Amino acid sequence: MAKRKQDEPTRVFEAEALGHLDALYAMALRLTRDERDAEDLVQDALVKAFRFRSSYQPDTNIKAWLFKILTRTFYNQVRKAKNIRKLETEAETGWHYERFISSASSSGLATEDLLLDAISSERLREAIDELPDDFRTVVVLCDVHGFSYKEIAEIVDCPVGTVMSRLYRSRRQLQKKLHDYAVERGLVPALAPPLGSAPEAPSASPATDLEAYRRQRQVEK
Amino acid sequence: MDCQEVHKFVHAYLDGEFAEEDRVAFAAHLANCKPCSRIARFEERFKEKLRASEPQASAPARLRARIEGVLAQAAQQQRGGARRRWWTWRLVPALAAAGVIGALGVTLGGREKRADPQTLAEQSVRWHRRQLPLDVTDSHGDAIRRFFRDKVPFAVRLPRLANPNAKLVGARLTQLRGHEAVYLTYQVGAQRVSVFVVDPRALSGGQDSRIQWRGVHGYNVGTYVSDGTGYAVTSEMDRRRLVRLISHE
Repeated sequence: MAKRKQDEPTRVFEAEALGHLDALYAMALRLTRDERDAEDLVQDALVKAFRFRSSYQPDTNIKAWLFKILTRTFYNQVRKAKNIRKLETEAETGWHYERFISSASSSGLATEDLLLDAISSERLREAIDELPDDFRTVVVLCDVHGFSYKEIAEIVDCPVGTVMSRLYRSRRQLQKKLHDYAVERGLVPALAPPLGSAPEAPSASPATDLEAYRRQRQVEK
Repeated sequence: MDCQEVHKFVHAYLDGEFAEEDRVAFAAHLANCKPCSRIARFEERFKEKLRASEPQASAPARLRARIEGVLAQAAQQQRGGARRRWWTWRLVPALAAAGVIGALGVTLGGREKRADPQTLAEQSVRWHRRQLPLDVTDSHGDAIRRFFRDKVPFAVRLPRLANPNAKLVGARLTQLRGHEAVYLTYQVGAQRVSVFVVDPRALSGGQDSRIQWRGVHGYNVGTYVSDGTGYAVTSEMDRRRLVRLISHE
């Protein structure tokens, strides 16, 4: 198809949007877990972005704006296709990484370092892909694309507290999954429960409020 | 502050969500508490592993071509007459129902506030995005240097870029934070990279040769000094690739 002559604002918009294409495609890949679907998702999102480019507020984060359109488009399509991923039941009990970290392995290396060294990028990617959609989304937005909690909250349209909670739980879930995997393959020693310990209590509930931290500190002053 | 609190907020701390005062207090606890510092170190390493696990997926060339075609079509439709207009507007209720339109009107404030005066990073991003006409288009560094010889009070030393495919497109005279600067624009594959060559005094890092990074509006800006010349490199390219591009030591 011959490239049609474009007017200036279109050209500028296209240049800006295409500058973020790699990041958008990477995000689309994590969301859809399929190359062709990812391409279609990026295309749909960019067409929408173009059509509603006048709603973009200048001097705000255009990358976050594009990511928001991409994410919303994905979730709309998922809802339509009734392809809702069943939420994995979280096995939160029993995962006490504090205990895990306080143990020492026989080689003298900290067990947590053994775990981190034992896990390959491929295995970690698989584990991320196995997360439920909304867990996977926040982890990738935060740890891969570096968005702030506030930006993530805008992109996925939920309160900051929910973002914090999802991040906390998804990271814990990943850690537990990888730990179990590593123990299964003998890559790290299994941990015996501490002697005389009480039955497993549920792990600490996630923090959802940064203000609470500040208030707590004020109280202590 | 007890360790239980620290465990709860360690993610927020590592994700850079704390204000300076709280961050300092948190770091002080970590410095004095071995178990907590081990946890923080583990979480930090885990976070880094998450980031590093992401493959450097470049969008396939065919996708780029598709997007360009589709945007051209969309532009055509919007410019079209009344006959075509009804087709575009028909999408509006559907998109509104899908919750997209209402959402799009929301401002994404993020962390960046418009501060007066603008920081060097913000100014760099502004210039990078404006894509203003160039004073000189030439892919040869010598020609660029000669062009600016009598126009700026410093030697325009081009940055050493690691990628042989980085093509110098041209340059323009500009200013950054009141200092005269030369704006160079490069094409690296499908992405643009702007390099501002400036007096090192315009940069806040002093004579630091290490690259200082800032994220502004989704763009990455790296500033550093090399051989007495200051550089500010701006691109939408992800930080890892940008680091590789300009690392010359």
